[in-house]
Amino acid sequence: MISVTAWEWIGLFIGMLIGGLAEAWGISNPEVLIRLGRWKDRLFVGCIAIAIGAGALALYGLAALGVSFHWGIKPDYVWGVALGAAIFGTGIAISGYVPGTVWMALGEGRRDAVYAVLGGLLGAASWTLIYQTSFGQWLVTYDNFGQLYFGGKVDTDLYVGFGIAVAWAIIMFSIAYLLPRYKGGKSCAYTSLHKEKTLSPEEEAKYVETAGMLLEGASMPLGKNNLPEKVNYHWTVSSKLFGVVMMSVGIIIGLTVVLEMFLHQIFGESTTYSWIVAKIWLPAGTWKYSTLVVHTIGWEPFSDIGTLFGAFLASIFFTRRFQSFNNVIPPSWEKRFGNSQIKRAAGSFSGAFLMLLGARMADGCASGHILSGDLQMAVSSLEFFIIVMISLLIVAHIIYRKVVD
Amino acid sequence: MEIIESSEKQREEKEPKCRSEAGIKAFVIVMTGITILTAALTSGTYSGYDPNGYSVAITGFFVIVTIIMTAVWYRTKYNNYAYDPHKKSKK
Repeated sequence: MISVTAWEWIGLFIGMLIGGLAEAWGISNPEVLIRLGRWKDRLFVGCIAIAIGAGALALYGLAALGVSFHWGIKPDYVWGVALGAAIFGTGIAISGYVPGTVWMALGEGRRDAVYAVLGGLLGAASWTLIYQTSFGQWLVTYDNFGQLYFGGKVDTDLYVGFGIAVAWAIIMFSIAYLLPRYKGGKSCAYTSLHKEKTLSPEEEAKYVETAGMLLEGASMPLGKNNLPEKVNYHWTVSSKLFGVVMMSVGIIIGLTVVLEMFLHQIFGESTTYSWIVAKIWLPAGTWKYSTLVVHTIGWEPFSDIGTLFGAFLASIFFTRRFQSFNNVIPPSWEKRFGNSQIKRAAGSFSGAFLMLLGARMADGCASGHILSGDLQMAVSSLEFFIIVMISLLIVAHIIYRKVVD
Repeated sequence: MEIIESSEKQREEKEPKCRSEAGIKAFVIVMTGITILTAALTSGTYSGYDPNGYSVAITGFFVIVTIIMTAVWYRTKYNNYAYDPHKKSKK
């Protein structure tokens, strides 16, 4: 059996790769996830689906061939995961962030990410306190079915697992192929069947508006006829999720997650918040959850620093969206709550608080559950993803229903 | 592609002229090297699941310093410029 365990600091490179690519996608911008909640721009769903499909095929294919992995499948304690997912989705709708994109946004020099980090730390600390109580213990033990994937117990029946992974990948690729990125736009299936069709004026207007949203607040000129212009006006705004660029990025991210598991380390973004809390406030030894976190987190603090740094490097050299902490408010938030910096800071802080509380309660976030977990076909992660989406769509509808674009 | 091209032109008219950024880019590249070296030297060949807090802290500190210095540099270089897609062009 092939088995490798990586040095912890190597996590910096893995984080940089993921942070840089995700910044280029634009998901470090909170407006992107708010628009997902409003069901106006489904970029996140399409790209994650490609990453999950490609990663699941690679993971179970290699595992069936005898390659050893560090499985990070989250236990399925049904009620705790469900409640955590509902709180997590609410937090995304308010803040526009998931734990990993907070780090990326900080690297991109976004001012509201500073408040989101603070809110996230308070959210993680709250779960460390709740975990100590009988309610916290009930959440993680009641109806806990352990580490399950679609084929049974983790790391068993891997040939069956590969067969399921093929079907799972077909479902994921179909979602990316059939789901139009923009509301009222065309799917990849439509555009590939109508190759003669050029972009309609409405589609061009959508591209331009999205590029403007992604570039808003940039502290440097973009320049002309260069790579950053191509990235911002053509690649990241494209509705062709099955185009070469979007597809390649999705596949690289999926394979990077598989590489982390092959290197026997942890893929995630939110445990680091609990780890920081354990180091500066609620120490291991006294607090049960802190004890659990500090002995199992692996290279995640390094990979999170890498995520932050990768997004920073991408925003300087590749997309030129570095904001230098300018005053920027996401357009949907501004139309709903006005341009008050204090209101946005409060929204960013409180949304991130809920988002991290929910992530730690469910034992994972968009990275640990939605990307890595669904790539591993974990039962708990599928439950988490479905409830997060329902919660996000409902809460975003309630908050932003009066917003007129 | 007419709408996209005209939008690119409008943006070019709004934004300041690109100036030499060789200095800051060299700084960022050097700091990237220092950050990676710091993590490698302080963490070494440890491959367990309980990372050294001091190693993470010093690595993160260098990253934060790099980001803040870069922000100050760009704000100074382009006179607190911030791209506003809704602002009318200068011409």
